[in-house]
Amino acid sequence: MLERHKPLHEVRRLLIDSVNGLGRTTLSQLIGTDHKDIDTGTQFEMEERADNLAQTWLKEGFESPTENSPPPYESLEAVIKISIIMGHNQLSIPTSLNPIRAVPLAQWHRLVPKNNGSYEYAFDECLYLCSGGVAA
Amino acid sequence: MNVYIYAQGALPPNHNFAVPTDVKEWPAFLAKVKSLREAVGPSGKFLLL
Repeated sequence: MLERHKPLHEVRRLLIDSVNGLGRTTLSQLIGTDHKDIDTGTQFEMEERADNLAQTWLKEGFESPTENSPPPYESLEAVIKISIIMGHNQLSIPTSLNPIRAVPLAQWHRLVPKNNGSYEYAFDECLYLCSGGVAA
Repeated sequence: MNVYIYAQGALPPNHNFAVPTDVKEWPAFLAKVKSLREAVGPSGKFLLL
């Protein structure tokens, strides 16, 4: 996952999915809510491709989060998209009567902001597909 | 492993906050950011299932 703060905040993710063991692996990218397949190959090939792409993004000004950095905040739509891709389709919104009330992500009503403000959201499971520090 | 969605009030879109270079100014800066976020509403943490 890479994150750029200026001039426009944007979070990009590279997703590697082993379809059939090490032999058939897919690489895709998620930019906001736009999920696009990039290529299919061996796990080694896709990891190498992902690393090269991440290095390109770093040169564009994106940052790779460190192990202890907080998750990036973005739109609710983007957070729901990555949550669903990662296999989650519900979230728990406890009530006094039901401590584990499960609500489908698609039916979740976002928090209502006050004072003409807005909310931002973060998905906390980070994937680190490249190493390195802050881009120039 | 538990995975969560976090929610927090966003800063105004045209804010021009820059982290102060002087460490002594950080507490006041952070308090201002916190205050603006809380004006939007409480933050939240939701367990994904």
